[in-house]
Amino acid sequence: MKPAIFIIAGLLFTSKIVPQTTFPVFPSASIANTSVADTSTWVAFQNPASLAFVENLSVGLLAESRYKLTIPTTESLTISYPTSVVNMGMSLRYAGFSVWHDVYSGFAFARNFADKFALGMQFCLNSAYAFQSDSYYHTFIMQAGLLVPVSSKLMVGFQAFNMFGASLKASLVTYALPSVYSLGCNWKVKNAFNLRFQADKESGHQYRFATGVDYHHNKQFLLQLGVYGYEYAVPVFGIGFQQGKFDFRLMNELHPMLGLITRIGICYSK
Amino acid sequence: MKKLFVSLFVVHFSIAFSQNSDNNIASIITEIYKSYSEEEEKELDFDSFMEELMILSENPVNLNKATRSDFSGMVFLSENQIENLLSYIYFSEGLVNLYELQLVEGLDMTDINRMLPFVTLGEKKNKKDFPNMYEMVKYARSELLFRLDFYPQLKQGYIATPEKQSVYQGENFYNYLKYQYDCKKMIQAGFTTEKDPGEMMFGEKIHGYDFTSGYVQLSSVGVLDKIVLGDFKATFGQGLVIRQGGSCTSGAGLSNLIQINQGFRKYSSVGEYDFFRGIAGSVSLKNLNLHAFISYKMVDGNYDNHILKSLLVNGYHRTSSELENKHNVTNFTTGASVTYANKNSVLGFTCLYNQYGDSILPDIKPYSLFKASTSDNIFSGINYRFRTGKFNVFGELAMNKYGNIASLNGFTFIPVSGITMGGLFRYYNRAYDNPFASAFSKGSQVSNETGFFSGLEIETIRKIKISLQSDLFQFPWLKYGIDFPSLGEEYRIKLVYTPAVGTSININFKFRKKDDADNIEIYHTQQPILSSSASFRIQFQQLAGPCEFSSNFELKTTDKYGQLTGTAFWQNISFYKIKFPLKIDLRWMIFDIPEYQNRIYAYENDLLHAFSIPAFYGKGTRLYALFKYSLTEKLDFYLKLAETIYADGRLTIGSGYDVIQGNRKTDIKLLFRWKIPHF
Repeated sequence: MKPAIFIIAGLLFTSKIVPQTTFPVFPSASIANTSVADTSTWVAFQNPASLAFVENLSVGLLAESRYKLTIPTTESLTISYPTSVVNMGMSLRYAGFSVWHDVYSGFAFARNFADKFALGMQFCLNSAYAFQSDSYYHTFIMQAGLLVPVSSKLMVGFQAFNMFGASLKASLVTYALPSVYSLGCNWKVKNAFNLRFQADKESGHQYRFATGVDYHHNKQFLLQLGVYGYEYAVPVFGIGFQQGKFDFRLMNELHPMLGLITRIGICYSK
Repeated sequence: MKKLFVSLFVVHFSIAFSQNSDNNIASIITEIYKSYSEEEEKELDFDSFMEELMILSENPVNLNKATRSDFSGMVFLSENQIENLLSYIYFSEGLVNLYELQLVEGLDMTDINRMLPFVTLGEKKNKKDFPNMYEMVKYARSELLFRLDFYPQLKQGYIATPEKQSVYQGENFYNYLKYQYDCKKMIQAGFTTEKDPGEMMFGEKIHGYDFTSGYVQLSSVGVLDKIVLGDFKATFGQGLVIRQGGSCTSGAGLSNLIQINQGFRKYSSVGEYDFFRGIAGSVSLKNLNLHAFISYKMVDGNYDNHILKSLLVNGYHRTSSELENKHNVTNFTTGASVTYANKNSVLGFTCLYNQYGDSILPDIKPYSLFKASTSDNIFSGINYRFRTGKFNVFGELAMNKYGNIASLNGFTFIPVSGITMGGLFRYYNRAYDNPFASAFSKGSQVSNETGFFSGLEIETIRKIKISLQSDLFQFPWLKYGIDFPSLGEEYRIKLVYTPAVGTSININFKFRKKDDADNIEIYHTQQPILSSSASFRIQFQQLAGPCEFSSNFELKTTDKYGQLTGTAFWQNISFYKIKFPLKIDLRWMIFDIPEYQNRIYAYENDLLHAFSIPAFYGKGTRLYALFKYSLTEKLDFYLKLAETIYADGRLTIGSGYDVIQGNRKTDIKLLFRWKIPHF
């Protein structure tokens, strides 16, 4: 009962907060999208090296709603499967609505090299729907990631999405897909307290800087606070709750001009 | 007691040394070269640098029997470090173990790790005997290198139309073939042939490769210390009379402020201008060294109405006009140098006579008013170096035949171990125009400059090395692009933090302010404007097993007509394992640099004997993958794939005949190296 009341109170509180980002970064389960050095979760199109730290078969769903609208939305599905040689993962992400949407599907594999470093690669297919021709246009994209534990408390992460600058070629136009580079670190200040910093850069955009804090109150409950800067400073608040093999996350971001983004996730680990 | 100390050091530091023993020697040499050149825009001769150190690694110096001249190839060691090392060896009656190097004052772990591939301890014969025929075959080392670069995107110069042929007459690839033979460093021979992209291989004026070079170098032949036939380089004194292959830069650190007399060295690089062709010899008589050479070669000259306007040094012979200019000017040079050296001092005299087939008569421009317009010139100079206590004083005074002088004087001072101070004052007359000089300067030539450089390096704080430098300079006469005397100042701060073995953080900050020319002219006169630039670079390096990771970030701000800021970030991953014959280097880079004046230089790993520091501006990404695979013990294969993708909407890259369509530029480079077996 107590956790349920807390979740509802959290929802009411966070719904008061609202900002938006136009920086082309995939939504993640990490606060303020500081996912590049976050090894606690791996969701669709996050740093593929994080997949190396998955220990059990996991299935995750993440949904994002912008500006308190029901459409357009973003939904993603992630499946991770660890093996003794490499960890494998599949990702699927749908963004948009019926007459305008694109689908990213990806296959990833990653390996942790004796806790000295972890490398991951993801092969993605972007399928964009064109209403005029009622057809899909496809592009192949690569993503690579790296995680290096500098010390027992400090992890540095790097990832590159669409590093070869793939473009979407339609019948009349060519649309350059974003190439995003991210560098960040995760500092385990205490066992229950993690601090993360991240910088992202897309070729045609300015830098995005983000920081976030994870506080594990106990094994079940997680509190997240963060902020990122891209044109505006955007505060983010989130909570997480673990029950048995299920892990729930809820995050809200507030943009001073545009509005609220709400993100909700659920993950099942065997 | 000495053995007890040595044992303690062996136990304590063996981890650091064992890691170093796994390093590829070529990587070490590249790192050394990088520390010389990454902060400067001048290009040094990496090819020769790499080759000489590779040969040295296969014929390491026996420290217990070494003399000062044996260290002339180890350019990363300063005079002070060499003196301290020789003193230590002398007073300790020889090193027992290489770990003792840590007891030598002025040598830190970086210096020692760099030295290790090039030194050894062991019995050495009193004098090396000249190899006989059997040894020349049995104990020799020779290798053949073949390199091929090609570029998928076609440049404008290669495109032919129905109305006219393409401007570039040759094929769109770069190629060289190089052979080197070495027997105990006493007999060295080789040749190099090279073709630039766009140059013909077989045509009217070219039969085969565009550039061919060869040499035979013999050491310790009778009374001769060294004799070189063919192509060679010369380096004497502080570089005001002759220095070929690049000069010292402030980025290399205070300890390398003093230039070492390297004498004659064979030339095997692919550069088509900066070398001599003829015969050179050196003789050593106790403390006296005598050197002499004579050179005759053809160079490229730019003629206009039968008047020689300038010499062309880029070596390109792609178009019909470039082919017309190929080797159309004779160049005769002769010179000599005498050096007296004892334990604490060096005194030298160098003179050089240079003559071209025609007088060089450029168009009279204000900035070139004082350039010599004759066909010949004489340069001579006195250089000195002496050490007294903790001071090292050095300098050179040079003069041309018209009495115009160039002078460089400096000192280094080590008050206590771990602190080094240095200063250098330079005066180069505006009419001192020596094409063979290369010395400390802010301009592109050793001419028209006055400046004072000072620096301080501190290594007393554990795990931290701090370097502070300042340079105040002046160009008393006009320069190309600046029609008035100008001033400038530059400051640098460098911090290296090594928290643990295998981890390091480098932080560099540089600020420069100088007089510049405004784009607006009033009554056809340039107006002066002050421009400044500041750059900040941070690099994080981590060694993890067989992998090395490096994250780099640089920010550069310029202010001439308003402040502009450019940034670049790049991530490197290198993988190398001795037991597996594959080495991989990967880089992902993103840059966002508004203007050319904000350009950022980022050093890149390249093929063997190649070095790359491209400049980046605009918006985009750069990726490369470099592979080295040892097909057999004697055969290595290198492959580099690189691509720059611009994301600032540009539709073409480059200018003139080098323009390519689109926003992508791709390079593919291959190199085969065959270590020829001897029987």
